[in-house]
Amino acid sequence: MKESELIYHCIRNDRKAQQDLYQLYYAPMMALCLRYSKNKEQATQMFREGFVKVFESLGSYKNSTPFEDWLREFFARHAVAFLKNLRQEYFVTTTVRAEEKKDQTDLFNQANLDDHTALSDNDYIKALQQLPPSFRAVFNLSVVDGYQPEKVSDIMEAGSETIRQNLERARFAFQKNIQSQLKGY
Amino acid sequence: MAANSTYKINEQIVKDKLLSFNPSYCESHWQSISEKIGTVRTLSPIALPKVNSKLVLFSLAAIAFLTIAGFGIKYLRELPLEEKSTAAEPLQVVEQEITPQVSEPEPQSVAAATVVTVDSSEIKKKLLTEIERARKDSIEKAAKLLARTGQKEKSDSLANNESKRMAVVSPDSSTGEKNTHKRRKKRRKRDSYQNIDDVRQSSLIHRSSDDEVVVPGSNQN
Repeated sequence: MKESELIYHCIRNDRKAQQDLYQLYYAPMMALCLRYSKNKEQATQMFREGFVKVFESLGSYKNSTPFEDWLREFFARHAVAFLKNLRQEYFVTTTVRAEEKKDQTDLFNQANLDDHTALSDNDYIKALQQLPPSFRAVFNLSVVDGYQPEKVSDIMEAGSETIRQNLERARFAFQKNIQSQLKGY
Repeated sequence: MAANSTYKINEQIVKDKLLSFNPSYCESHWQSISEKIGTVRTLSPIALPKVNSKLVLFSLAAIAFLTIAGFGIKYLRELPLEEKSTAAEPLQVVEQEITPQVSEPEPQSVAAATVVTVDSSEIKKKLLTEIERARKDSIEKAAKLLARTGQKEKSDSLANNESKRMAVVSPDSSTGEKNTHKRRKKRRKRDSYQNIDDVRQSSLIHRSSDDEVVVPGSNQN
């Protein structure tokens, strides 16, 4: 069955088609939820709720964009909303003073490329999960999912300057977590 | 965060690793999702939209107020008309009827009762003359109509009957001696029930008989 037919039957509430769609996108969406959450339990909850919302909102999907891209953005938005709902007071994206980070122009320095390549996928996931929720969300949206700053700002519902500052902090915090993972080897 | 630290992470490697991460499939998740979808699907047709309870209460109160106000205005508009139409005339009638009844049972009001009977007889006479005149007019009209339509015999007989009757009825006429006793009796009986005052008078006579009060009306018989 083609993907479009699968979606059509899912909208028609065909349970078999829904299960097929679930099986098809289980791995990428579960991986996404693991990246956005702090542990596996939270990721499982996020994943279940996300798929239920997906089946409810499939009618709003338009064929102009690939379904996987639509699904990824849908899950990303759901994950951010999920994190905000969990602990809203903890998920505060404060504006950082800009002059504090003006000298950090070498953020994309490609030096020591192979320092962390020995780490496994799970180590990267763990390093991400140890980040604070706002840093985790910004890092995932900007670096892993590759959204433009405007889009990230839209999803996070925060100003572009706040997003930029949070991303810089998230990058250094992630590096710190990777270093601590490497120490374990 | 130290300003002098260098960012050494290759983000492309991180991205590739994270995107290629493939968690093992778990069927149990699908069970819970399908249950949730089922409940959502079954509930969705009857699920009410989220409404603000304050808004609902306010709108209900507003509807109730407007309804009550509407009925109130309608009632107030209609009230004076009803009062005019219903309350004016019956009140006068009641007053007329009640005043003699209240004063009559006492023996001191015998004189007043006689006055009332005199008045009633005059009214009775007037009424009778009015009725007779109306009757006469109607019979004349009928006779004219019959004459026009060519039924002369009928109109003549009608006129004769009427003239005979008038001779019987009118006490001042020269043919008054022709009145028979039966006819007089019948007329009296009929007249006695034509006027309500007579009926009431008879009841008063009956009531006041214990006090041996003689009402002048009873002497006529």
